[in-house]
Amino acid sequence: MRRHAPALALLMLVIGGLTAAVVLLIDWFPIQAAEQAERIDHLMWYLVISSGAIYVIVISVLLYSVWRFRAKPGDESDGPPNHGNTSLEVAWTVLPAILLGVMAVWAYLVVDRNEALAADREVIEVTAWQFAWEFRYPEAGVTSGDLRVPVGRQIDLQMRSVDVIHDLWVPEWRVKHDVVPGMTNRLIVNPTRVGTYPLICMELCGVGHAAMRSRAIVMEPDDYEAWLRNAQREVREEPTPPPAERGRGEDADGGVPPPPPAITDEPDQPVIPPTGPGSAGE
Amino acid sequence: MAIDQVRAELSKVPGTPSSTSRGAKMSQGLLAMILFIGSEAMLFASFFVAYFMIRFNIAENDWPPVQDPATGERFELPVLLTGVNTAFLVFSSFTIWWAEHRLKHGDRRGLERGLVVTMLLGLTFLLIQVNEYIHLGFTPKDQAFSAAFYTLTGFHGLHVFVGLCLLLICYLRIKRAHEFTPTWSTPLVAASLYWHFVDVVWVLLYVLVYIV
Amino acid sequence: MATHAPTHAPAGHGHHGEVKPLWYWWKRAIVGTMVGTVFAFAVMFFFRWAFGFDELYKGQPYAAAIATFASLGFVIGIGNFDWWWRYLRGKHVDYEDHSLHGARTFRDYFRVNTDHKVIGVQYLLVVLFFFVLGGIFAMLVRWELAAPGHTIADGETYNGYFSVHATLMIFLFVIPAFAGLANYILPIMIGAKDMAFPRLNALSLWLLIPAGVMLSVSPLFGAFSSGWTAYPPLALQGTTGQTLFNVGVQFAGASSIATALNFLVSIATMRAPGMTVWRMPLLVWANATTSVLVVFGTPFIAGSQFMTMFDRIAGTNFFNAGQGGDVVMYQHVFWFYSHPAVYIMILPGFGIISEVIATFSRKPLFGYRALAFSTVAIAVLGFGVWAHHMYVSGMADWLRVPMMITTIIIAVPTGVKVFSWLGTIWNGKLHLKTPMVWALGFISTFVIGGLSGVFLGTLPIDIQLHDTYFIVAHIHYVFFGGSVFTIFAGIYYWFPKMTGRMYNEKLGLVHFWLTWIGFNATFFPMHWLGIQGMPRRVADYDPRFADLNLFISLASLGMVAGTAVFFYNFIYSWARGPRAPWNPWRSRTMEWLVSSPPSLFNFDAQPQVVGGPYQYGIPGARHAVVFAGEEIGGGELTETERRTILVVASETVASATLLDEIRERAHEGVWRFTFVVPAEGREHRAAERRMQLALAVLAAEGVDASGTVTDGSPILAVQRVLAEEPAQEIMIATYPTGTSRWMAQDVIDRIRKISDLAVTRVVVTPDDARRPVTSDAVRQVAVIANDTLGSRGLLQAIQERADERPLNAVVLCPLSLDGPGWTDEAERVRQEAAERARVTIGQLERAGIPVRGEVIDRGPVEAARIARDDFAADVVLVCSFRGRDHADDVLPGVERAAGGAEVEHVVVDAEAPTAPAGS
Repeated sequence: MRRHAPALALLMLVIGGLTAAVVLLIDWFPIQAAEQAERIDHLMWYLVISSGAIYVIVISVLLYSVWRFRAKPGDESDGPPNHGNTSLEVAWTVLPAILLGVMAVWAYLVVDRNEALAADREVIEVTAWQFAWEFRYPEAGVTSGDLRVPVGRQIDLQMRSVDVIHDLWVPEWRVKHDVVPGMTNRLIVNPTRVGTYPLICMELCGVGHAAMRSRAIVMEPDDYEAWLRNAQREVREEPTPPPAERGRGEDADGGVPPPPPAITDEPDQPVIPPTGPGSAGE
Repeated sequence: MAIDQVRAELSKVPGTPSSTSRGAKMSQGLLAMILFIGSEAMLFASFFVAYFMIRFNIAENDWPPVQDPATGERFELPVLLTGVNTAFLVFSSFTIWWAEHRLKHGDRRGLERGLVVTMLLGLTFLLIQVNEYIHLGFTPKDQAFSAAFYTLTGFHGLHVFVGLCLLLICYLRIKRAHEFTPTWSTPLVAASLYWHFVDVVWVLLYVLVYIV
Repeated sequence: MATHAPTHAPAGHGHHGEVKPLWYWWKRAIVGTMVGTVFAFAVMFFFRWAFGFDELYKGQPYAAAIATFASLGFVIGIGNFDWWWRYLRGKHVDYEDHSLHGARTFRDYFRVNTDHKVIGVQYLLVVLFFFVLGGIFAMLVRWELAAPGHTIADGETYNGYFSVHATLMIFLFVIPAFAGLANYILPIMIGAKDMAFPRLNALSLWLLIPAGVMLSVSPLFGAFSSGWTAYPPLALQGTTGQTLFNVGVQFAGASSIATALNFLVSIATMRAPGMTVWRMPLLVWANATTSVLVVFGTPFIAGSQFMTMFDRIAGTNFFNAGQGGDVVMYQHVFWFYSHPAVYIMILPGFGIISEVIATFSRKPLFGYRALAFSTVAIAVLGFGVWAHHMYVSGMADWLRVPMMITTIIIAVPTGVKVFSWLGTIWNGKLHLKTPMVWALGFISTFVIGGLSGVFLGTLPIDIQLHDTYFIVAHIHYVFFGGSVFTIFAGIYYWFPKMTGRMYNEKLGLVHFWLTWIGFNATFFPMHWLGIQGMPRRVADYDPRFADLNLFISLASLGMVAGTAVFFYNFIYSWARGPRAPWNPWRSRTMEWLVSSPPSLFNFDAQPQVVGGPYQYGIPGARHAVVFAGEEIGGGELTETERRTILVVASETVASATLLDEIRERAHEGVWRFTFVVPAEGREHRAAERRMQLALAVLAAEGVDASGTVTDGSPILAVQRVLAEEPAQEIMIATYPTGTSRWMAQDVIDRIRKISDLAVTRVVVTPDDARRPVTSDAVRQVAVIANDTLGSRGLLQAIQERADERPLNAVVLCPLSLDGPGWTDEAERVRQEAAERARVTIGQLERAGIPVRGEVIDRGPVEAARIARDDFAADVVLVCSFRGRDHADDVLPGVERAAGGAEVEHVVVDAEAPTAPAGS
C-alpha cells in the first residue's frame, strides 16, 4: 500500500480537481428566493461535498487499479489471496454512517424550521384542476390565475384539487407539495426576493400536464396591497363565484382561469366532486 | 402403480436426475406451498392496508358508512350469521386434519370421507357467503368502504374456491390414481396447508371487518 | 445457431417420444387465444345480463376480461398445462417427466420447454426483444424532447411513450433479464440438474409473453398515459390501454412470483453436497434474497392494480375522495412493492458483478461475508423505506423522518459493496475482458446513481428535487448505469457458456464505450435540468432548456449505436463465433466446470463442493470437483486426485470430536488427511501412540490419512510439512480457549499467516480428549493387576502391546477382600489400591494410551467377567510379580470368565520397592 500512496494521491488530486471544477464552474442552483431555499441549499452543499469526496475516492482507486494492476499479456498467475481486512471494512462502514448521521440530523432541523408556522401569515387558497391553477385570497375575496405574494411575509398555501393529483412547485423557492383530491395540503414559504418565477405542476396530471404552468409573482408589500385593492374593486363590479362551486360545473360562467374540463370520457367513472369528506369540515 | 414404485423404477434409469440431494429431507412441494402462502398472505395484507386506510378517514360512529337510500338507516353487517359461517370453515380445518390423520393410519376410506366432508363444509361456506352478498343491501359501487369490503371478502371467497379445487384434485387422485400413502402425500399435505391458510385468513377477516 | 446438444437422451423415456412439430403447438396457442376471447366475451355478457346491468356492452369490463382469458387461453394452448390436465383426470403421470426437456434444433426454443437452460435462453431472447421495443419508445421520447413545443406528438401520445418505455423496461426487460440469466446459470452453480419445478419454470416464461404483448400494444388502444406508477385518479381516466396495463402487470407479477418460488426452493433443497451457505457464490446469495423480495413484495402491486382495475371496470370507489376513497393509499400500497422492486432490479446485478470482478481480478472477493450480509441487509431494509417516494404526497407528516432514516441507512450496505469490489481489484491481476470492462464501468456509473440516491432520500432536498429531471437522471444511473450494465456484463460473461461460442472482444469493447459515453452524455446533464426546474414527464418545456435537451437527444444516439453493435456481435458470434472452451475465464464456480454448453442434465454425476467459490491465488484450492463422464472428454478438470488437509493436534489427536470432524470432511470424497503432531519436547512416543490410534480408526473407515510426529512448536511443524507436501486446508484441534496453551500463543493466527491457507479450528474439551474412542481398529485391553500396579514393568508391558496395535486400556484392580467390605480395614485397603491404580493411569496417559480404571472388591475372576461384560475386552492381561504369584490358581478361572477374550499372563520383575502388599 505504501508504495502506491504517492501516485494514488496524485491521481486523487487530479480527479478531485476535475470534480471540483464540474461542481464549482457550472451554476447548479437557481436563484434563492425564499428562506427555505437558503437552508436547503446549505444542506445540499454538504451533500455535494461529502458525496463528491466519496466519488473521487472510488473513481481514483478504480482508475489506479486499472492502470497499475492490469495483468501483463500472458500472465496467468493469481493475485494474493487476500480475503478481507476487518479494520478497513469497519472503517468504510462507520465513516459513511457518520456522514449520513450528520446529514439526517441536519435534514430534520431544516425541515423543522422550513415548516415552522409564523403567527402572522398570509393564507391563500389554491385550487388545481386539469389543467389550471386558481389562487384565492380569502380575506379580500379575490381570485387570480397568478400567485401574487408580498415579500418578507410567510405564505400559507392551502391547496385542494378538483380532479387528479397535481403538485405545486416554484424552483426558486425550493418547496413543493402534491395537491391531492380529497385533502387540503399546506405549503409554507417565506419569499425573500421580489420577482416573477415559474410555478409548475410537477405531478403528471394528463394531456395538458406540460402546459399547466402559472407564475409566482413576489411583490413589495405596498405593491401587493395596491394590487389586492384594485382586484377587490374589479370583483365588486363583476362578482365571481368561489372556485369550489365552479368546480362542480354548476355555475361555470366567467372568471379568469378556464373552467375545469369534463372529467372523463369513461362513462363508468362517477363524477368526482371537488371536496371529499376529509376536507368538508374546513 | 404407486408413486414409490414409479420413483424406484426411475431411479434405476441412468441419467435421471434425482430430484433432491442436499436437504432432501425437506419436501420441495411443501416448501413451495409455504412460500406461496406467504405471498398470498401479502396480497391479503395489501387489501387490509387499503381497508384500514379508508376506515381511518371516517369517524368511528359513522362506520360502516353505508346507508339505505330509502330510510337513511345505516346498514349493519350480519355478525351472527357470518359467525356461524366462520364456525363451519373452522370446523372444516379439523375435518381435513382428521382426513390426513386417517391416512397416516392407512385408512383410505376415512381419508376419502374426511375430504368429502371438508369440501361440503367449504361449499356451504361459499353458498352462505353468496346469500349474504344478496341480502347485504349495499353494492360495491356505494362507498370506498363497500369496495374494500367486497374486495376482501370476494378475494377470500375466490381463495376458498381455489382451495376447494385443490382438494377436489386430491380427491380425484385418490379415487382414480390411488395415490397417497401414509409415507408420501405431499400434494395432499400442501392442499390442506392451503386450506388452513384460507381458514386463518377468514378468521382474521371476520374479526377485523365484521366485529371490530 | 448452437444448441444444447444433449449427449444422451435419458433411456426409459421413450414412451414420450413422439415429437410434435412446432406448428402443432402454435396452432393450439392461436386456438386457445381465440377460445379464451370468446369465453371471456360470453362470460361477461352472461354476467351483465344475469345481473340486469343497464349497459350490456361496455368497453372496459370486456377489455379486462378478454385480456385475461385470451392470455390464459394462449398459455394453456401452447401446452403449459398438458401435464396437469393428465394429472387432473387421474391419469398415470410421470413426476419426473422430461419429455419437454432440451433443444435439439433452434425450433425447440419456440415451444414450451422444461429445460432450465433452454428457458434461460428463451428468457434472454424475449427480454432483448422488449429491450429494443422499450428503446424505440425511449428514442421517441428523446425525439419529442429534442426541441420545445410539440415536435412529433401531442401530450397524450407523448405520455404514452414514456409510460410504455418505463413499463417495458422494468417489467419486461430488467426483472426478467435477471431471471433469465439466473435460470441458466444458477442451477449449474449450485450443482443441480435443473430447477426444482421445471414445468412451473416454463409457465413463468410463457406468462411473461402475454404480459409483454399487452403492455406493448396498449398505445394502440389509446391512453395508457399515466406513467408506470399509474397513480389514480389519473389512471382512472385512461381507456383500454390503461386496462391492458392493469392486467399485464398482473401477468408479469405472477411470472415473477413463480420464478422466485422456484429459485428459493431450488437453492434451499438442491445444492450439491458440500455447498454450505458460506460456499454459495454471491449470485446465488443475490438471487435468494431477491426472490424473497419478489415473493413477499409483488402481491402488493397486484393489490394496487386490482383496486385500480375495479375502480375502472366495476365502478368501485377506492380512489374516489367523494365516496370515502383514499388516493394516497394507492401510493402506499404501490410503493410497498415498487421500492423493493428497485432492489429486485439491482441485487442480482450485484451478484453478477461480484462473480465477474472476482474472476477477472484473479483474487478472492474482498469481504465475501460482508458482501453477502449487505445483500441481505439491503433486502430487509428495503421493505421499510417505501414512503420516501411520497415525501410531498400529503401522507402523514410524521412518517417522513423515519423513512428518511431507514432510506439513508441503506446507503451503508450499498457502500460496503462498492468498497468491497474496489478492495477486490486492488492488488489483483486485472484482465480487462469485455465483462470486466462492463463491471468496472458499472461501478463508475452506479456510484453516481447511488450518491444521487442519497440526495433524494434526504427529506428537504427531495422536496426540491422530487418529480424533476434529477429523478430521471437518478433512476437511469441506477437502472441503466446499474442494472443494464450488469446485465450486459452477465451476458458477455456467460455468452461462451450459453452458446458454446466466443463473442468478438473488440466489438464488445466498442459496444461498451459507445454506451458508456452516450449514457453519461445523455443522463448527466439531466441532473442540472432537474435542479434548475424542468419537470419530468412533460412533452413541452421552458425554452431556456432547449439547447441542453437537443444535446441530450443527440447523445442518446450513442447508446443506439452501441446497442446495434451489441446485436450484431450477439447474432454473428452465436452463429459463427469460434468455439468456446469449457472455461475461457479460468473461473472457479461450478458452471465453468462443465461443457459449453452443458449437457442435458448439466452433470453426469453428483458434483462435490469442497471449498469457497473464489479461492483464487490459493495453491491447489478449488471450489468443486465435478465428475464428468468420458464421453464429454475429461481433461484436467475431471481429475479426482485427493487434496490434502493438514490436521494439527497434539493431545487431542485421538479425540472423538476431531475424528468426527475429519469423517465429515472425508464424506466430501476428495480429501486426504495428513496429521502433524508436534511433540513439543514431551515424550515423542506418546504422541506417536495417540496419532497411530487416530490413524488406525480412520484407516478402518476407509479414510485416507497419514501423519508424522515432529519435535518443536506446531508452527515449525506445519512449516516443515508444507515444505514437502502442498496442502489446501489446515484443521487445528485445541482445547477450549483459556485451557489451551496453543490459543494463548496465538498459534492459529500464526499458522494462518505463514501458510496462507484456510484454517479451521476444532475445539476439544479435556474430558473428550481423555475419553477412549470405540472402534474395531482399537483393541480393548483389560489389565487385571493389584500389587503390580505402579511398577515400571507393568507399564512397559502395556506400552509394548500398544506399540504393536493401538489399544484402549482398562485397569481393573481386584482386591479379593475376604471379610465384609464395610470395615475400616477394607476401606484402607481399597484406598491404597485406588492410589496405585491412579499412578498407573497417570503413567499410561502420559504415555499416550487412553485408559480408564476401576477398583473391584472381588477377585480376579470377577474382574475378568467385568472386563468382558462391561468393557468388551479383546485382551485380558493378568499381572503378577515374578515368584510372588499365585497366578496359576487363578488363570483357569479368569480364562473361563473372560469368554472369547485372549488372556495373557504378564510376569513383572520386582525391581524396586513397591507399595506395601495388600493381600
